[in-house]
Amino acid sequence: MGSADQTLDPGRFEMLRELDDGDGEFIGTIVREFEADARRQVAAMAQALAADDAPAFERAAHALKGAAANLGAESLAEMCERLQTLGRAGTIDAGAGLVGEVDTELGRVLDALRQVMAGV
Amino acid sequence: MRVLVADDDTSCRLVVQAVVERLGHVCVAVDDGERAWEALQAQEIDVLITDWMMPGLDGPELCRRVRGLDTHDYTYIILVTSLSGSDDVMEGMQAGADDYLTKPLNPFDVQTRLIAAARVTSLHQQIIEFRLELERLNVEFARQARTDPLTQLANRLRLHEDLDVLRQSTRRTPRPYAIAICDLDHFKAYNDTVGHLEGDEALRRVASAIASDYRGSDRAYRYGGEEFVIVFEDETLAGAVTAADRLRGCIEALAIPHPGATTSGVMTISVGVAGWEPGDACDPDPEVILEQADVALYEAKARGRNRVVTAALAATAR
Repeated sequence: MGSADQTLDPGRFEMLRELDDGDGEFIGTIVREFEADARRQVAAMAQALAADDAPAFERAAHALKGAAANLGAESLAEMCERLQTLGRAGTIDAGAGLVGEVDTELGRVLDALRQVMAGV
Repeated sequence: MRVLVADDDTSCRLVVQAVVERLGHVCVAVDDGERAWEALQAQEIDVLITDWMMPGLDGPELCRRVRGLDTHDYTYIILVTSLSGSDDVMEGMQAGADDYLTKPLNPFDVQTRLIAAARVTSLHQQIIEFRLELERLNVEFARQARTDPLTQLANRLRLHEDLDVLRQSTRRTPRPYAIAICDLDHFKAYNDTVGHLEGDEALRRVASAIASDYRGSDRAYRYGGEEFVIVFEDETLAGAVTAADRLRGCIEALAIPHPGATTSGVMTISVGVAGWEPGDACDPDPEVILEQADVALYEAKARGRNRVVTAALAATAR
C-alpha cells in the first residue's frame, strides 16, 4: 500500500525544486538526465543478467539506486538495493523477476515526475 | 572557493553543482575519477566532493593521490558514499577524506560542509603563509648572525664555519690556500684621541677598502675589535703576500689622519700571512694556519707596523 506513496517522495522533489531558478530549466535537465541514465542502467542490468555477469549487474544496480534516491524515487531505490545485494552475492538469477519490476517502477516514477513537472 | 565535483551520476552531480554555485563558489564538474585527477593536477582546487564508487579511479584512491601530491595548497575532501556501510566511511577517512556525506545528497548538508571546508582551507592558507614568513625570517636571522653590524663584513662565527668547510675540502682535494690577519695600527690610541665614533668610522672605511679589494674567491671577515681576516682560496702564500701588501698600501692611501700614529701620521695596518699548499709537511688545518698568521701579525707589529710579515719561515722551521 505504501509503495504508491514512495514512488516519488514529494519532500525530496520539493527540495530539488528549490534549487531551480523558477524557470524549470534545472528540474527539467535533472529529470531528463535521470531518465536517460535510468534506462541505460536497466538495459545494463538485463544485459548483465543474460551474460551472468554479477559484478556488472551490481554496478548497474548501484548506479540506478543512487540516481533514484537522488530524485526521491524511494521504492525504485529499495528495489535496486536488493538487486545490488544479489549482485554482490553472485546470485543474480534470483533477481530475474525483479529487473522487470524495476522497469515497471521506473515507468511509474517517470509518470509521477511528468505530473509534478507539469505543476512547476 | 573552487569546488571540484566528481560523480558518474549526472543527476546527482547536477544537484551538488547547483548547491555549490548558489553559494557563490566556482564549480568544476567531472564524471569520473581520472578526469577529477587531471583537474586536481591542472588547477588549484580548494574542495573536492567525490563519489565513492566511480568507474576506474574510485573515491578512496583519489583521496590517496591528492594527499600524496607535493603541494603547499590543501584540498578539503568530502567523500560521498551510499547508505551502506560505516566500513566504507572509515576507509575513506583513512584514505585522506576530511568529511563524508551519504546519498541522496541533501543540499543543506552540502552547504554546511562547505562552511567547514572554507574555514579549514583558510586556516591551511594561513599556516602556509606563516611557514613561508618563518622560513624567510630564519634565512634573514642566519644572515644577520653571521654579519658584523658595523662593517657589514662576515663575522667571526662565519669565519669559523667557513674554515671548517675549507678544512674538509682541503682534505678531499688538497689545494693551496692562505690566511691573512690585518690589524689597525695604534687603534686604541686613535680611539682615545679622536673618540669611538670616529674609531667606528675608521673601521668602516678600512672594511670597505678590504671588501672592494679582495677577489670573488677570497673572503673577508671582521675577526675582532680592529682585526680583519682574509681567506685566500686556491692561492699560494706568495700570491697572498702580494695581495696583502697591495691592501696595506690601499689603507695607507686612504690617508685617514691618525694623530697617535708613530709611523706616517695616517691610519695603517699590519698584516700577518700564513698559508698551506700540497706537499707542505705542516698540518693543513685552517685553524692552525690562522694561528700561524696571528703569530706573524705580532711579528709585523714588533718590526715597526705598516708591513706584511709571513709565517712561512716559522712554519718550515717547526
